[in-house]
Amino acid sequence: MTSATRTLQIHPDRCTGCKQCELACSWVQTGTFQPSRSLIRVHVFDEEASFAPYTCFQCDEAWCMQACPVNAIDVEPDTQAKVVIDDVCVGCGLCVIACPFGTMFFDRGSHTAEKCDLCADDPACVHACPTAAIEYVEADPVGWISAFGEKVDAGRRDSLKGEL
Amino acid sequence: MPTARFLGIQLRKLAGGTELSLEGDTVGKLLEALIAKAGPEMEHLLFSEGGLSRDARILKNGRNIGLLDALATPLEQRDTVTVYFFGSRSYPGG
Amino acid sequence: MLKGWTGTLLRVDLTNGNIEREAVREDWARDFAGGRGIAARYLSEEVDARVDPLAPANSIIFATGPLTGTNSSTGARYMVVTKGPLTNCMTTSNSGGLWGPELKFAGYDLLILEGRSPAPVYLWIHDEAVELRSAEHLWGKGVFETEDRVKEETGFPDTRVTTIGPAGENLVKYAAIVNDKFRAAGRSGVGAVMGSKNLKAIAVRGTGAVEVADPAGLMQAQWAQKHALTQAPLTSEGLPGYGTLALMNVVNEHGALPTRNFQQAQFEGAEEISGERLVETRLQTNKACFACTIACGRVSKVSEEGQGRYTLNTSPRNWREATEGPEYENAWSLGADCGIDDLDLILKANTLCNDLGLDPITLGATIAAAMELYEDGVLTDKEVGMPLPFGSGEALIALTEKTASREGFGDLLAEGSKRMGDALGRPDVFMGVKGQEFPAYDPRAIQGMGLGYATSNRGACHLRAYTISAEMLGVGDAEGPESPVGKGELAAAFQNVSTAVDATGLCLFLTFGVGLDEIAPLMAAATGHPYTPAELELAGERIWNLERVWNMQAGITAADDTLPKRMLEQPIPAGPTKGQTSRLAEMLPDYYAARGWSEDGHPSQEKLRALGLG
Repeated sequence: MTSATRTLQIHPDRCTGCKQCELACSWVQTGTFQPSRSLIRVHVFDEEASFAPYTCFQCDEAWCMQACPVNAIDVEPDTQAKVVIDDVCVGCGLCVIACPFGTMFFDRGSHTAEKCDLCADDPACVHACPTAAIEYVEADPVGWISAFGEKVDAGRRDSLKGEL
Repeated sequence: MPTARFLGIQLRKLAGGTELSLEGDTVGKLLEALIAKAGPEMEHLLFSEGGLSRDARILKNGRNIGLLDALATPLEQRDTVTVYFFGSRSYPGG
Repeated sequence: MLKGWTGTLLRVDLTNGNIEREAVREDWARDFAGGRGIAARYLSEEVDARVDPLAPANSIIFATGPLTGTNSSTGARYMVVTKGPLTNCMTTSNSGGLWGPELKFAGYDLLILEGRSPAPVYLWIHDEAVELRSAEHLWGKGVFETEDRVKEETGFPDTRVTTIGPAGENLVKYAAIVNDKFRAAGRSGVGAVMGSKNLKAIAVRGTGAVEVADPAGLMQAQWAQKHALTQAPLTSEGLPGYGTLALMNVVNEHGALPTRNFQQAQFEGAEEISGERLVETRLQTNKACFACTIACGRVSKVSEEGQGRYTLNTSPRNWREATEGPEYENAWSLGADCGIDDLDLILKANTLCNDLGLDPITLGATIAAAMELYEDGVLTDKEVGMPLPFGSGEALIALTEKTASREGFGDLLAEGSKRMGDALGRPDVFMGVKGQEFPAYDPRAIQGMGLGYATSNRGACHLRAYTISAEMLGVGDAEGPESPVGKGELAAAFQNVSTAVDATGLCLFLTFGVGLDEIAPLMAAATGHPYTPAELELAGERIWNLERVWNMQAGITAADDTLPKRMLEQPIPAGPTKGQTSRLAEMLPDYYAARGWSEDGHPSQEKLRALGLG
């Protein structure tokens, strides 16, 4: 990641689970409201009594890119976003399998892979979020999730204690 | 002394308690005593543009002072003045 | 077809299992705006008003609005419309959460359910694929377990479920329908209608889209709406901060908090069950319904002191055994109205109501009426099976469970306080209208609320004319709460606007921050029909009159537009509102006049013709 690029910073503690980000993302994709086509999804973390919107971190390793047999995923130079080139993609779905974060999607209609492309440096989900739980800032893209994951894990271990 | 009672967590923090005994033979005087105790932030909350702030609700014994004599409403020793900001800045929000 | 609508309704005949798709009538969609309105139109067309609410000939309609599933703030709502067993009137019971939008995404605006299934079933809607499945194994199960098991059976964690609990199966007159575990179409016994049809649940998964007519217009209108919500103190801070429970201390300070079955109007334990106390000791996080930028929902746990005393019966996968709520109305009915000041106990009882599928307002109010009868010596330990003084939390918990199962004294409680009072020769303990119990505002203290209760089409209800907003909370202008002046016009106007909002698929809480001026552009851009604020208000008036005409066919007369004697004749005994009674007789003629109805409460022919109903 170059220092000039920005990333989607998630603040789970601010999220109320309203799904405005999903609505905004599907609006960008389809011009309709269709959360099933959103590339950002609000997940519920019971253990933390928290929601967290969740999408591609634009990670450096980019396993989606490495897995693609036809080089249909490219790096957008301005934002460093990994983007799917629609007319190159053959719809094999390998990228969806390869992504360890579950943030590659497959659209049955167009038969191509889809992923967050940061809306050409102006992410719609950020504007739509009423509680600033999603910010577009210069930050470590996975910084929030390792800390959050630690908390969730600890909570889960705690709640499983009785059963183990 | 009349009693002032506050609703809302932030307002209570600012006032320094849920209930206070405050001097004042009118509601206006009591609010002055409150501001003297709690400071300029309380004044800023209660008053704007030369009058009571639009969001401030002041009751004397459960009756809105807007339906009585507003700030000139007289107070006696055993009266209770309730102050709240219905959904206004006294609430933490989010 | 207008946009915003999917244009399709799903009709299920439970008697023979027939499932059919039908085009939604576009003229009705336009004139009745959606949700509550179009469902009322279908019901009045298809169901005889004199039907027994629990007979197969009654239908139950689930209806979304054109803005349900859009990004308009609060576009989450659906409405359940049917003849209610508590009131014998048309009832319109509204809920949020995630279920309503999911129905739209599956491709349907409305569900019309008819007949009675020969055995318990649930309906599974997965886009075009719709089937009835056996629910024999779910019958008797609570809401939480039913939702978890149905999700598992459909194979999708994001399937949305609306269901009844044991109360609905046992035809408790005020059984609720609960979606997403904690969101309920609560009042008038809609859950009993579902139970009478042997329909346990409706599971939906939708992957489709909601399309709008004017994309640019809609985006502009929704930004304006959301901005206005961030500027209004109630929708930006009050509701997110404290939820509806913000009202507990406020209403109590004004001397309008009904206490011990409306024997007093202030509760000494209000602070203990207030929004402030919930936030300080029990709140985990806020939770929003779909598309809602207010997020008034509460995720709560019992306090540290309450740990061990109360085990919440939620599913373990729900916020690590947390619960949701309580709303102001529930904390009042299960709290102040029963003389109970223990918020942990209220959380427990409220969670039980969610799981058993009971309306907490009528349940609490009915137990409060029974407490009064117990203290008067009309009921004894023998009949009740336990002591039942005001303030008994143990009795509240035990009787909540017995009511859902109709066990012992619960069988009488399950009929609601009107039928209970009649059966025990004490009709005076019923605190409500048209068979439905009052919510949490004393109508003697706030005159407009009393008029709104008396004239509500679904029995006593705070959501039909929330005039307290203008009379006491300072949202809009009106005469003070103790004055009857102008309240006829005020109540009629509130009813029309609220009905219109209910039709759009948005939430009434919006109206603390925006009005029809902000909502009409959303409706126009979504549907393509040039709705104006005036046209929407007219649609509200049209729906209100349609409900009224149908109710009159069902047997309602002006004599039912009244309040209990206690409200009309017994003054509030103490506090700021001491000495006040309801001045209904002064307000009702003004109300009928404002409505263009005859002196005996009949919508006039001219009025009906003007509304296109004649």
